[in-house]
Amino acid sequence: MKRALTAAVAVALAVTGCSAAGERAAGPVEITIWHGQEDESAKSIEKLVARFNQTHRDVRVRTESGGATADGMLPKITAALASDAYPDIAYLYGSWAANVARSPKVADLSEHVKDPAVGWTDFWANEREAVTVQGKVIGFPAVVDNMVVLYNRKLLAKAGVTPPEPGWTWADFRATAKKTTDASAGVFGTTWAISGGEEAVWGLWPMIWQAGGDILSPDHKKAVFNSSAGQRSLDLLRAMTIDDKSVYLDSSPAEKGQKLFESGRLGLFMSGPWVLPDLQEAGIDYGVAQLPGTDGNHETVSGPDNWVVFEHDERRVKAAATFLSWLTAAEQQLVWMTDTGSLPIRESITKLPGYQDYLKKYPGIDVVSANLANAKRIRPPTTKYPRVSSFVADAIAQTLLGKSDAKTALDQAVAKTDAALAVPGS
Amino acid sequence: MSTTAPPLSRAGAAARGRRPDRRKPADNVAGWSFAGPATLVILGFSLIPMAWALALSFTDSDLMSPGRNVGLDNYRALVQDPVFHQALRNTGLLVLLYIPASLAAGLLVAVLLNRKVRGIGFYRTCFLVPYIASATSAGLLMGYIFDRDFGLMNGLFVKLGLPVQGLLSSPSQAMFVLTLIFFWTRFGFSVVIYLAAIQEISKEVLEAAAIDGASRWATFRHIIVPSVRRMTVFLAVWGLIDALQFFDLVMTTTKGGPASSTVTIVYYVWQLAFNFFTAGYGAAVAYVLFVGTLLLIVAGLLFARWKGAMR
Repeated sequence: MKRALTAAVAVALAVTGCSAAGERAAGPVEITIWHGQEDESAKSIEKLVARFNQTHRDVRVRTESGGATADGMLPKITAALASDAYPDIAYLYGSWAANVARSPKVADLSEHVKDPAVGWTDFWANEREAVTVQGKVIGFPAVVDNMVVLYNRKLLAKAGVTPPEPGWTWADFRATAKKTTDASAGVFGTTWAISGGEEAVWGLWPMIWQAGGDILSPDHKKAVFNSSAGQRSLDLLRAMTIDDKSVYLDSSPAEKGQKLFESGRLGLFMSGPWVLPDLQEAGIDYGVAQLPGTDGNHETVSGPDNWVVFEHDERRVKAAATFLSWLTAAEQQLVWMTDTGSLPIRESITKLPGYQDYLKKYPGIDVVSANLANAKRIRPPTTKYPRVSSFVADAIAQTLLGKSDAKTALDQAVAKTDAALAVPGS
Repeated sequence: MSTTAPPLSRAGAAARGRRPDRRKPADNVAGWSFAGPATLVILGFSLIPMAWALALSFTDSDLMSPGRNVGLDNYRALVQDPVFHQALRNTGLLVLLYIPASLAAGLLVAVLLNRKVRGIGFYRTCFLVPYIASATSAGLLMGYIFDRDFGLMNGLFVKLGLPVQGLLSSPSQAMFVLTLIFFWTRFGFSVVIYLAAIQEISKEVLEAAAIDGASRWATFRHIIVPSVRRMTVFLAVWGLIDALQFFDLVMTTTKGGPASSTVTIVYYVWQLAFNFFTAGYGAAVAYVLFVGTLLLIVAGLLFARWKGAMR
């Protein structure tokens, strides 16, 4: 047995040794990217990579889906890092950045992005923040989005309510949802997820921010989301759900809510630009509005996603930076945006002549794009965030199901969060 | 091959457990070349990961950076972890409901399917199809059927004049609904195993019972049930392992919600390792599950032996 084990280890060492030696060979630097995209997005990114390979002699990029969609990329990359079989670049959600950056294999691009050709400050500020962990730039911004309210024009007209105006308030939101609800026809005003994941939680944050509250204290040591701002926010949702019965509670990870909107049974739907292609396919006559505000504040939440770079050796990191600065340049991004309907990640893109065609192709995208100005904050970049999110998901479910009032539920979630934040280390 | 000792005495020596016989190196090579690949697979995919996970459970690793050694702290922490306790309760409920139900329904359906009627192959297939269907598709489908506001199930309740139920949206009902879905996707396996066992019962015994005037119930109670008892033990152990590792339907229907009411042990392990970045703690929970499963199986087998089901 022992001998077999030694043999197995020897074989494993020999295999990894070989690949390490192969990298030193002459010729173009080969790098691998796990893009995690599907359908149209996958086609688009592969088209762009092919174009890059044609025009660049010194770098050769290989695309792989990574065997995972963007949602499942984190477990995949974790396993890949543990077994030393990781790619050079991977598409990772911004909320994972703090955790991923703990890996010593994550590259530091702080010097690379100082190159004026990269145009680093041309990226939106919250994207740069999302890809920078404790002063270390771990990659490039990949996609940015933000939360907006989509509304069904026909349903609203039928209920006799005017479509949301840019300056609409929480009270308008509640009234519109209530008037649109028609229980006998199976029509709800809006929806909220009560599953155990982040989809149940992230819509609450912009409301708390608007009301002057925050999620955690600035040093990330204490939870503060049970402030009066937090209570007001959750209380509004509770009143809409329990008193007005205008909210469809989605037990699935927000999938059923989208299907309801697509089948014309939902008046208002808080979501993002990624659903626009599906809505067009479903043939729904929709409109887009910024989030309802309070005191004139219409802050939204955004989830910038990153191309994170992992280090094999210095040459490959440099090649990855070269490729990413090409991929994220305005011209390439406009191609990507036109194919996929995603938002501009740089300010300069909006000044390209082709930008107007893109706006025409995706009705409503102009509102989402303008709403980037309302995306001022990101969720706290701490390794504990996913845990915090799970506690808040429970609090929201308890409240919206009428098992608890907003204050009690939030206080309990804060107590659990403080305990989790007090654990030292990671 | 020339051997000094006749083969018989060699075998005899080995059987008596005396001095190990001296094989030639060539025999060793031949032996290992047969056993080697399988050994490597078992080592590589089972034993090494298990040992690694055990080592991991004594650290605070997040799989991203090398963790610190924390001794038994992870195990101490889970004694007080309310979510872990909830996961234990949820999984325990599943086990207690699922195993008796799958054995009873499996045997009953197997008896019903053990007949010579036209189209019996079709009926048999019907019961196996949910078992073959993937958990993802079953989860998505059932998520719609058991929806509180738009599901077929509540539609049926309304037609029958019954009150609308919370189902997957209710913290007190969601785990029962998931148990029902789990049962639906799994019990086809019990049917197949029982059906095979029933067909093994010798015709003479059944005919003798019929001649003695045994009723259908007596035949079932005194011939069929005892004859398939080994399969019952097997299915109970199999069902136990299956239920304790319940994960996929949670992932595709509720993600542990609402309010953690459907968090199972393995779903919690997944959350801890890949969502909360506490892989060391997750490994500790996984090891508690492993040891607990092992103890339950040993206890179950001892019970079965004591009851005489393993003769």
